[in-house]
Amino acid sequence: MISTTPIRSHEAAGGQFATANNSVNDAFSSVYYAEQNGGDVSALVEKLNTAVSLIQRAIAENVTDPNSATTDLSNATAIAQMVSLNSTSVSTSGSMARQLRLYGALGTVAATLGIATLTYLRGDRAYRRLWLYVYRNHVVEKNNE
Amino acid sequence: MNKQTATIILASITLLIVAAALTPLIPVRAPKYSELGILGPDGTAKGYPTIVAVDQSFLLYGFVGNHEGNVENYRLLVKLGNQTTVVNNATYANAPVLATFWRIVGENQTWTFPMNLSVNQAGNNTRIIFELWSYNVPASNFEYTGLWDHIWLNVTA
Repeated sequence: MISTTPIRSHEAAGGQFATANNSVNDAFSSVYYAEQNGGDVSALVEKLNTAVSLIQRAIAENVTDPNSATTDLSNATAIAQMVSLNSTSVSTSGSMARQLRLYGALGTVAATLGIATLTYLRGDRAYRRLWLYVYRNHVVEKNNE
Repeated sequence: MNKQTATIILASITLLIVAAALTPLIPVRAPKYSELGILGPDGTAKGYPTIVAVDQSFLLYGFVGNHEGNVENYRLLVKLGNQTTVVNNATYANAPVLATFWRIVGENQTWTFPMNLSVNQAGNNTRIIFELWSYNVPASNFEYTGLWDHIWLNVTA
C-alpha cells in the first residue's frame, strides 16, 4: 500500500521515494520492450515485484523506522536498475529466438517447395528407377496355361 | 494413379506443410482487456461491509487480471467519495486517495491482494471508489484504464 501522507524531515526523503519509483517504472519500460521483442520476462517481472514490495514496505515503516525505510528504498532502486540491465540481454535473446523461428519457417517452406518441384519434374523418372532397383531380382515367369 | 491425381495430391501436401510452417509466425488477434474486481472479506463477491466506525479497519480483496497481450504495471487507487463524486469509464474520481496498491502483472496473469482499509471521517453514503490505473510506457506515466468499482458505506462516529 502506498500512503499519500507527507514525509517528515527525519523520515526517508521524498526524493528517495521518487528515485525508487522512477527506477521501477524505467525498469518496467525496459521489461515491456524486452517482451515486445519476444523475450521471456517472467523472471524480471518477479524481481521487479520484489522492488515494488520493498517500496511499499518502506512507506509502511517510514514513520517508525526511517533507517530501514531508506535501506529498503536503496535496495529497491538497485533491484530495478539490475532488472533494467538484464532486460537488454533478455530482449536480445528474444529477438534472436524470433529470428531463428522466422528463418526456420522460411527454410521449411523453401525446402518443401523445392522437394515438391523436384517431385513434380522428376518424380516419374525417380519412381521408375526405384521400382527397377527394388524389383531388380524379380523373375517374371510365364503363366502355365 | 494418373499424372493429374498425383499432381493434386502433391500440391495439397505442399500447401499443408507450408501453412503449418507459417502459422506460428502469424500474430493472434485476441481481444485485449484488463479485469478489476472487488471481493468481500472471505475472498468472494459477498459479505461486503456496509457499516463501519471511524478508523475501524475492514478487509476487502482486490482482483486484477491482465489480458492486454503484454506485461502491465498496475496501480489500484482507493478513493474516498460520496454521492456527488463523479466517476465513470472516461473520468476518474476527483477525490482524496485512501490507499494505493501497486503490482506488475504478466500477460494472462491475475493479481489478488488483501486491502485493509479504514475511513477517518464519519458520514452516511460514503463511497469507497476503486480505480485501476496502468503505466503507459511511451508516455511514461500512469493512466486511468476506465475500470472502476465502488462500495457504499455508512461510517459512524
